[in-house]
Parts: sequence; structure tokens; C-alpha cells
Amino acid sequence: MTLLTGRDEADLPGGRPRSSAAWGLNALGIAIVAFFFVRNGALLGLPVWVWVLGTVALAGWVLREFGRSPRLVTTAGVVMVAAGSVTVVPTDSLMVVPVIVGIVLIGANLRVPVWAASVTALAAIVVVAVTATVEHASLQFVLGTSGGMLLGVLIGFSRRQFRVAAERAREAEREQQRARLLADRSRAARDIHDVLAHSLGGLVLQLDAVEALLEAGRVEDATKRAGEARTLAADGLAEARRAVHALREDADSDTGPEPATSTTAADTTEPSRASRPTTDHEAGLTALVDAHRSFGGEVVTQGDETLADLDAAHRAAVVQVVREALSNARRHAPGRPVSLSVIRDGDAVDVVVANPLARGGHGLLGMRERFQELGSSATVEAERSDDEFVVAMHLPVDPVAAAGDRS
Amino acid sequence: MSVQLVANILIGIALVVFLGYRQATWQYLDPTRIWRTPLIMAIVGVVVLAQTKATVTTTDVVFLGIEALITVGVGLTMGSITRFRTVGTPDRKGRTIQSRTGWLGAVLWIVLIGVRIGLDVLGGHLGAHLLTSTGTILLVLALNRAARALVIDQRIPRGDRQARGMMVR
Repeated sequence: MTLLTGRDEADLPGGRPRSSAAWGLNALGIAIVAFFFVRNGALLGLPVWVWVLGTVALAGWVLREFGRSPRLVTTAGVVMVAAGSVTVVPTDSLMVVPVIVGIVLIGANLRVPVWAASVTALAAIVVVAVTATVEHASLQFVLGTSGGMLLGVLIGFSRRQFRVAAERAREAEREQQRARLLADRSRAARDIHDVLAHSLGGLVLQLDAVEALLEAGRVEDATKRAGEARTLAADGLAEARRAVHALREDADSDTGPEPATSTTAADTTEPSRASRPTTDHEAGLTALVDAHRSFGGEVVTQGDETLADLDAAHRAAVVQVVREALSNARRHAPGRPVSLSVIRDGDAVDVVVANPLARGGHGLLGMRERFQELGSSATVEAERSDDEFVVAMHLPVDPVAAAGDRS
Repeated sequence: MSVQLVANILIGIALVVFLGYRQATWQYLDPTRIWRTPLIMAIVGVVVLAQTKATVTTTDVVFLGIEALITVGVGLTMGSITRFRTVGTPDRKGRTIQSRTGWLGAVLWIVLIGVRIGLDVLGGHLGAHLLTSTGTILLVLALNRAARALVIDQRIPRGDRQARGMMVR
């Protein structure tokens, strides 16, 4: 069927190359129509104007074969419809083929309004009806060719929808890539904030203490503090290196499957959804509490500081959040007691850090994101409550640990 | 002039006066329902036309085609000259968008009627009798409304989707 020649992947806006199959089908269609046009024309003894217009319609089709720009393709479609519709009746409906192809071309073109193909088809029907009235052709003939043209409108419309959908899919993909990039960026920002705010904040406190001790003439204490500050700085540097390293590695490993959570998790087997800057999470909160005390902070703990009930990913998240909370407490409420409690509650663990009033910083946003990334029922809340700033975490118990409890 | 013809003309005029009045005043517009009127008109038109017993000729097709072209043209123009505004207080159906085409829209309706009557007379002389049936009038109006709906559908101001997501400190 020559009708099918109109259904190719051509004319995408931007002049994409057409597939060779589509090109071949169109060429075949042109050849067949041209052959019958000449043969029947010779038999019927067509008048000169029919020869001329028929040739123009076919020329439009050929033009469309070699045309690339959307404007040229539209022009070819209009020429095919205009010249073809006049010759439909004289050529015994042979020339309806270029008319239909032309209508499909116009209908599928995203550069012209959606109604253009319908209006073109309507005009072509009027032209065919006029020539049919003049030449006394039957009504059935007119209705039949009109039906063909309306079919062309439908084919053009469906091709148009297909192209619109393809365009939208491309757009959505671009959008998704952008969102992924932004998410990565904010994760990196959060990790850097966590590491730097913690170690630099601690460092400032230590150095303040050193200064105060030197002013008071307690050189020995000051030396001890300076040593601690040096250790802290070294730790912070190491941690920052690890964070940057993890971020770099992430670029390669993000495409792979998520590594399984393991209780013997080292840095490399840490689930990729969890946070990057990884200190010694195996020790749970003990190291953090010790560090806080060494900065001169006061902390009252209650419950299991090692977080043995949690799996590695959740433990890591808790460590990060508690570090942030302690860091905030030191910054905003120095010298005030902080309370840290870890309470096992059935299948869940509640971790609460409370300290006298503090203001929230970027870290609070990071806390929430960190818990969202875990993708479990774990939640974190950070808010003012009765003159205290409370960070409360609620986490599911590691199934492995829970099984160990029951046995 | 037969009673049938007078009735047809009266029906047509009443509808056009109603629609013309609507063009000139601000009307609430429901974007999801702009296709309803043309659809109902087209269905009624087809039903009425199916009951009309008239011999159809190629001349009928010519005149119907020309009339369809004109009515679509007028409909597309109406769609493109339509102005929109949003009002603060939604009506009881919750619509906030209003539209009007102004006096130009009303004039276009009168042009459409003029063309319609002219083609009726001319077609009647040339033996195209299908034109004067009520079904055809309704179909022509349905086409006009559909063409307008098509353009409005693309132009209608749709509020940008609200940014989703909680605000976090």
C-alpha cells in the first residue's frame, strides 16, 4: 500500500536524518504513482493542465524526499495537496495518494498548528467536490477520496502525538539528570559541612581554651590543650580526606548495586545511601562523648552508647546526627550540660540529645536528609522544647541484633 | 417560506444571539469542559441529520465543505482573539478563569450568519438542499465551537504547579 509510505520517522524538528527504509518506501510510492499516472494518462488522453499539475504534485513528493528543513517539508506537503487535489477526479483518484501523503506531512509537523492538517484536508475535499461536480463524477467517488484524506489527518495526528511524546520524554530525562546532579551536590555540601563544622568548631573551642590558659599563665595546661587541639585537627583532616575520597569513589560506585549491609562494615562496605564521612562508627557514640568531654563539654549519658542494636547504616546515621547535635550544643550553648539517652523500645531504638537552648543551623537540614536517605522507618526531629533544644531519633532495630536478643 | 424553514432560522438566530451575548461579556470558563458544547451539538446534529431524507449530491459536498472551512476559520479566529482573566473569588463551581472575545467576537458571529444565509440561498439555487437542514446548522456550529476550543485549549492560562515539598529550616 502506498499509503504506508507516509509512515516513516522523518521530519523530526531539527532535521534528523530519515531512515533509509522510509526513504525507500517513499521512493517506491513515487515510482508506482508516476508509472500509473503516465500509463493511465496516455490511455485516457488527459488534458495538458492535468499533466502539468500531476507532475507538480509528484515533484512536491520528490522535493520532500530530498528536503531536510521543516519549512521545505511543509511547503512540499502544501504543493502536493494543492496540485494533487485538483487532479484527483481527472486521474480517477490516483492522485489522492500524494494528497494524503501531503496531509500526513502537514499533520505530523510540530511547527504548524494542530488544526492545519484538518483545514488542509477540508480544502482539498472542497476542491475535489468542485471538480467532481464539474466533471459529473459520482458522490461515492467524492466521499471515498474524502475518507482517504480524513485517514491522512488521523495518521498525521498520531505521528504528531508520537513526536510530542518523544520530545517530552527527552525533556523529562534532562530534568531528571539535573535533579540527580543537584541531589549529589547537596549531599556533598552536607558531608563537607558535617566534617568541617565538627572538627573546626572543636578546634576553635580548644584554641579559645589555650588562649585563656595562657593568659592565666597556666602554660602546662595550655600545652596539654594545644596537644589535644593538634590531635583534633589531624583527625579532622583525616576525616575530610576520607569524605572527599568517598565522594570520589561514589562517582564510580553509584551505578553499581548497593552493597549489602554488613555488621562488619568497614568504610568500603558502608551502604552507599548512608553518609560518607565515616569515623569509627563501630564504637558508636562512645568516641563522640569522649571527644565532647575533652572539649570541656558536660554530657550525661544513659543507655547503650555503642548502639549494638542498630545495623551499620543506621548506626552511622545516628553517629553523624549526634555529632552534629553535640557540635551545635558546644557552639550555641557552651558550658551547659547535654543529655544523651539511648532507649530500646521494643523493635525500635530512640536516641535523644537535649541541651539548653540553641539555634538551628544547616546541620538540622542535613540531619533530616540523612535519615530520609536511609529509606527505613527511621525519623529524626530537632526542635525547641521547654527551654531545651532536643534532637530525637527513632530507629528500627537491626533484625540480626533483634534475632540475637530473642535467642 | 415554509414553517420548517422559519423554525430553523429562528432556532439558529436564538442560538447565535445567545452565543453572541456570551462573547461580549466575561464568562466563567472551565478548561476541562470547553469540549462539551461542541460535542453535544455535533451529536444532536448528526442525529437530526440522520433523520433528514434528502438526496445528497456533489454540490452539497462542495457547499458543506466551503461552509465548514469558513466556520472553522471563524472559530480559530475567535479562539485566538479570546482574552482571559483570573478572578480572585471562584464561582460556586470553583472556576476562577474568565474569558471573553469582545465585540469582534460578536461581529464574527454575525459574519458567520451572513455567510450561512448567503450559502443557503446560493446552494438552494444550485440544488444543494442539505445545507438548510437543522442538523447541518448544528454541525456547522459544533465545528465552529470545536475549532475555538482547540485554540483555547492551547492558550488557556494554567496556573504553574505549586512547588511541592516541605519547607525545612
